Amino acid sequence: MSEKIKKEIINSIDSLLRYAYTMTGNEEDAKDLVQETCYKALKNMESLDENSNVKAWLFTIMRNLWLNQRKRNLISPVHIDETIESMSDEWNINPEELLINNEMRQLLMKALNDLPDTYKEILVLRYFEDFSYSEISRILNCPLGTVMSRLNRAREKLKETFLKIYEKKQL
Amino acid sequence: MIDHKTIKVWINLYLDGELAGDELEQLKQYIKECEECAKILKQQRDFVDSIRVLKDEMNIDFTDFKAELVKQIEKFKPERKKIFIQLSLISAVAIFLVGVLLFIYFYSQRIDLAEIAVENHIRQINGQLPLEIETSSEIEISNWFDKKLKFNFRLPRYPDPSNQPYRIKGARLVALNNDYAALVSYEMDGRPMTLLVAPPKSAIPHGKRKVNFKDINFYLDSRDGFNILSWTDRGLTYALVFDFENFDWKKPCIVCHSQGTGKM
Repeated sequence: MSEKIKKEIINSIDSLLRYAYTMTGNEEDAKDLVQETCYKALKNMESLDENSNVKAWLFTIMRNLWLNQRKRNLISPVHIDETIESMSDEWNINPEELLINNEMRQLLMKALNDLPDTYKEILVLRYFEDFSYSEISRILNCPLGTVMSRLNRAREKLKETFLKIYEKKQL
Repeated sequence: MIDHKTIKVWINLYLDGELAGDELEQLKQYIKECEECAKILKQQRDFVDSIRVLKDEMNIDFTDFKAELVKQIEKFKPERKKIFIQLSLISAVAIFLVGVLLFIYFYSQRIDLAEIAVENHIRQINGQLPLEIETSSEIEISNWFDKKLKFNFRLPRYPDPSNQPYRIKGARLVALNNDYAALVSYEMDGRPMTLLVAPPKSAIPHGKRKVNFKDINFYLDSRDGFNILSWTDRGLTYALVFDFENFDWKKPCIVCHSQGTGKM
């Protein structure tokens, strides 16, 4: 059983690093966070049963560690701007185009990194790690309805931020 | 008619694999019929796919860190000893508590044999408790009790019972604590005497005075004008009830120890 969990932890390292890097924005902090997450998970793996969702459990541990770390460093919680300016449905960029256009990818990446942490993390959990709404709800410890609305706002905010940067670039 | 705002919410749920049932069917229908809806779906799908493309954009090289971390994870041994010690301690405490509770339960169930003996003696002399076997033979009484009791009880035999100052009248079973106790009826100097015998798990000896004789604690008491002598010996608890006019605690001991064979 513990060998199986260890294997799942190893298989999740890339995802954890990606999430940690997105959240901390710093390579060294991301490594520390992942290291600490894996150590805590190994110490507590006896509490899991055969059907536990190990990946979601690891993300929950990591998020709690990260929140505690932020509290320790006395960083005030990031204020979420709930108002979305000029909600535009327009998205005329083809993902194939994005794949070949390096500059465009960098702009979208910048827009993602500029988002408040709350929006950034929900987009990473959904579109990078493919967690379902209910898994995200457990990881973020919030109701399913909040996941839906927050994800919606995060998408709109990303679109808006990207378009602002893009338009500025065009001028 | 569902408005475009709702359709947009449905589109997002659909793209995230969270739309099902009637809503999913309705959405498919709207997409077929409404050009605007089909356009929103395409744009939203392109947008979501664009976000997914970014996943591979994070090309930071974590190779060395990852290799070291994998090694550490593979080497990690769970602290089984600690868990084992904790479990052992919990088990020991649980067993101890169960033991204490059983002990308390067991002792709370035991009753005062002296009191029961007096009650049965009174009922017996009032004729409310007839003897089930009437005989003066110790052996007949011992045989009659055999297999009727959950404990082994036999009356002592003496070479010449007719020479003893007491006379056995008979015996019967009496209910005690969901079980049976042995009642033996005697007569000495024309006065009735009752011996009640029970296992110690059901009854305890009791009395205001305690006398130790030959490593046995004898309890002496008087209730309702009767004298009671109770004690525990060799796995059985005894209570002897009598009301001799010339009171002597040693006198009733004759029923078991014969005349002149023991001194008290």
